[in-house]
Amino acid sequence: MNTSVVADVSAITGKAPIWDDRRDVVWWVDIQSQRLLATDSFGLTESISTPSQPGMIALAQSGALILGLEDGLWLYSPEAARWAQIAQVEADRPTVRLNDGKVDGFGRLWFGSMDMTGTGQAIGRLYCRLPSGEISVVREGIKTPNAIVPSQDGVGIWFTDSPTRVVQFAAFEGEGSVSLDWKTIVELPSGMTPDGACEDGQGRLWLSTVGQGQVICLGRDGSVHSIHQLPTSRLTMTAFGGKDLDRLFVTTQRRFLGADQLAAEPAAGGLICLHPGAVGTAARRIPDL
Amino acid sequence: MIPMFRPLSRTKALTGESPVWDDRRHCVWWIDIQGQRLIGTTMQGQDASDIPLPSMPGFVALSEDHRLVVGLEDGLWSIVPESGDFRKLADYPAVDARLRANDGKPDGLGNLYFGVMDKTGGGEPIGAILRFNAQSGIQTLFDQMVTPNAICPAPDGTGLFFADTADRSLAFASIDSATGLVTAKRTIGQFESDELPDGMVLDASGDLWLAQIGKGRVVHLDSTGTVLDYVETPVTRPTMPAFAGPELDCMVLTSQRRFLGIAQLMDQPTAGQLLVCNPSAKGAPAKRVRLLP
Repeated sequence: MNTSVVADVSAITGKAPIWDDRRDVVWWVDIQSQRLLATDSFGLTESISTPSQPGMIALAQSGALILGLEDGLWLYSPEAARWAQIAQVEADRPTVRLNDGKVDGFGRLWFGSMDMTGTGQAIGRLYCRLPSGEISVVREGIKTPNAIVPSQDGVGIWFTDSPTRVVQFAAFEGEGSVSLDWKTIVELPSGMTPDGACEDGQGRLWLSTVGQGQVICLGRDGSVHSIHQLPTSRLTMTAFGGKDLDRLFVTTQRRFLGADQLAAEPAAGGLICLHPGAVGTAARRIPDL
Repeated sequence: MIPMFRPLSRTKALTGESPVWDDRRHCVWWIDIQGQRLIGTTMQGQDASDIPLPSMPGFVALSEDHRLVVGLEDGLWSIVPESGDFRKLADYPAVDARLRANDGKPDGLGNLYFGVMDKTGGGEPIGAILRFNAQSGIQTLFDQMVTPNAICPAPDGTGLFFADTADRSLAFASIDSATGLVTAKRTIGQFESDELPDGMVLDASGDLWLAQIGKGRVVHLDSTGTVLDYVETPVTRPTMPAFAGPELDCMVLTSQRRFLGIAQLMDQPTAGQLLVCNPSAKGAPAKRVRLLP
């Protein structure tokens, strides 16, 4: 398979890639370095400082970006370089930051929060923000929320609490309800931790895993359609992009790699692009605020 | 003429620290602590080297045998930037997963003085100032510190300037250069609550140049602690100055963009970059760590 590092910026933890079909760039973040990054089709990457650690990006109808930082949701307008906080979330818990999230077909934003002390406290949450701006807690007691992927067909949402290695799915009960009944889809083998993901146009999950550098394409019945080996071991999230949405962008992590591993994995921390043999759909946008 | 700092590097660190002029490679080495990287910037403003590190660094120093010495979370390491050869030199005396290195410089005899501190943000007084000697290993000079900083050994190895940022004091300790034992300690400076002492460098005449984080300036003191003058900076969080350039007549300054809100980030577009100015003093060549007994 044709795999290339399109942005060689050695991020500590790359995360949250999203294809912006109006600007033809992949937005992504470097969490611990507090950077919002924009990589264009020439492989040029622009870096924008964020005021705290970013963990999530979504797009708004207006063209602005919505970022999840340590203290809540922020609106960022790239052309004006203007920031505005739109919601305080976890602002009362200074050891918690936001992590992972995507928009569903109802314009709702689903996103997680997690302990950032590195001690693995199970104090994270899954949140849902309605288009009205109302935010509610959907689930608590989470260590590391990831793979928060509302399905393309509007039926439900994927989720994993990474240390459990269990990937789950819950059916939506409609636009007005955010209560969810989680079902296990698959448990990954030890040595392989599920991280961020996206769906393709056929509703299959493209799951990045930390440990052995594999992207796994999963069906909702738990069947494995394909496994894609990447040149670095810690993969953090996938996103379809490119004009035809036929490329898969994968963010990676160089954090926790020792000196020998860093030398052996020069792609660690880069944005990787591959031709997955599948096509995605354009990122859904949050209705105007 | 009033010295004016201007940006030199393109790299914008989260916490820039520990600049040192390498007169053999003709660049300033400096670190981004949370960014876990070692950067080499030329005086023409090119970030010619950008080396990812396996954990958070606290300082970078030069060694007598042309290597670089960095203090990481788990001990002292040497790096050959040309080959990428990483080698662990020593563990810290206290094995505590909460620690990382912070601030460090060698004396003229090849001994390395450096700090360790709580990296969790909890501000626990588990920090210390340590001394590495290639023959005798690592010994603890001061413990129960919060944030050891401004570590500047006297070139002849008989003394050490240092600060604990938490209590805003600058101290000088007399040291037996043969044994490394502290024989006396006195406070030579006590700063206001908005003048937190961070990194420091000695100039060729023995004066002190200390970054005051929060106050946005470098204070110039004589060796008794008397304030002589100030150099203002375009950032509120400068972290450490160093003399640089072939004639050691430039002053470079690292800075921090961490903890700045949106308004401050907009007001201080150079925060995190390596800054440079032409100061009223000249530096002395950086001393080098002796790694081989």
